[in-house]
Amino acid sequence: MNRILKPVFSSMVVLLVSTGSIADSFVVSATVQNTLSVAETTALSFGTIIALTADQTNDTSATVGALELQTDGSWIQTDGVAATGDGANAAGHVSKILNILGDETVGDLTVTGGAGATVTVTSSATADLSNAAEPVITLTSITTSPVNNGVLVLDAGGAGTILVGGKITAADDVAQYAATGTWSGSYDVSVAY
Amino acid sequence: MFFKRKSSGATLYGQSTSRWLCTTLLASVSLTLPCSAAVIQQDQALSFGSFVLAGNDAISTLVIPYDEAVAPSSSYKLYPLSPGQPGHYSLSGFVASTVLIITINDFNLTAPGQELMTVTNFTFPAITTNGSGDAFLEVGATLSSTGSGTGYGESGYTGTMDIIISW
Repeated sequence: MNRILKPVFSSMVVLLVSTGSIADSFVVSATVQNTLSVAETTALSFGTIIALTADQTNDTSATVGALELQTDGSWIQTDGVAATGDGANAAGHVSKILNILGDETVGDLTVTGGAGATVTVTSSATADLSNAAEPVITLTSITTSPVNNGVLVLDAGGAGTILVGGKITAADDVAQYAATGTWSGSYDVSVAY
Repeated sequence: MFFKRKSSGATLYGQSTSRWLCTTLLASVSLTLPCSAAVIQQDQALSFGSFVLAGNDAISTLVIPYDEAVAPSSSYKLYPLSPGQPGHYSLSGFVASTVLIITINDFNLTAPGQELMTVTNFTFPAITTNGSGDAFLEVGATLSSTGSGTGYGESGYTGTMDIIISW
């Protein structure tokens, strides 16, 4: 009798199996933040200059001088065409702008957004630089790096830099620049994803 | 607080605050078998952090690996702002030295009035409980935009992840 029961009991023990399952729920989150910011780190400055206007009203053959600060810090300076008239429009008078101290600064804008984001840069809305009643200095154009309508790729920290240069021209004015002071104006740079 | 429930051929014990389902098979033998209360304790919530979704004309993704030593990765127009993190869960009260089977179904993250996001492709290491019936679970996942063309507004998006553990 015992010989028969013993193997049966052993097989029952082997059949002991414990299975089960458990489930629980947890909240998972994400935040969408599509903002993009741009801040001026260094102002665009043409430094200390000497400027002479041209009187194109009375001498249409004269042209204004120009000075361009490129984004790599180099200059392109272009004198105007000499006047042939009288007075402020005297023959031989040449309109020009010339930086005399080398104290210019290329504009530096910091863009902050998503890591690795591709951002489109646009620049626009040039404006005259003015100083009270003095003849204006015209901010003819803005040059950016990346270029206008170009692409800036933000780094792993979500930051990027736009360099800004520009071109200024002397005024078409009978009067000459008389005061010592600061001429200031503004420009617009936009960024978008 | 413990409770006791009679079952066919077995008596099951568990904590009333825990959810469990335990089956004991014992052929024709009446035996009392304690089944401890298995618990999933969240130590760190799975999060995708914050990010820019600059467009939804195609699917963008954000992958959070379960291993924090591996950097998250993103695609297309999803640009991370602050890092996400894998989910961390302490498992206790399970059968000792047992392989656990983890099941997590896909789910959505939603925000009122906004396009939904899907969470799929869950990753985690193989889990075996120790001699005390404990284990540690790390969960990673992939978040995807719909690519429907409808943009995502700025908001917090949330969803519920159900973790099912079988043994």
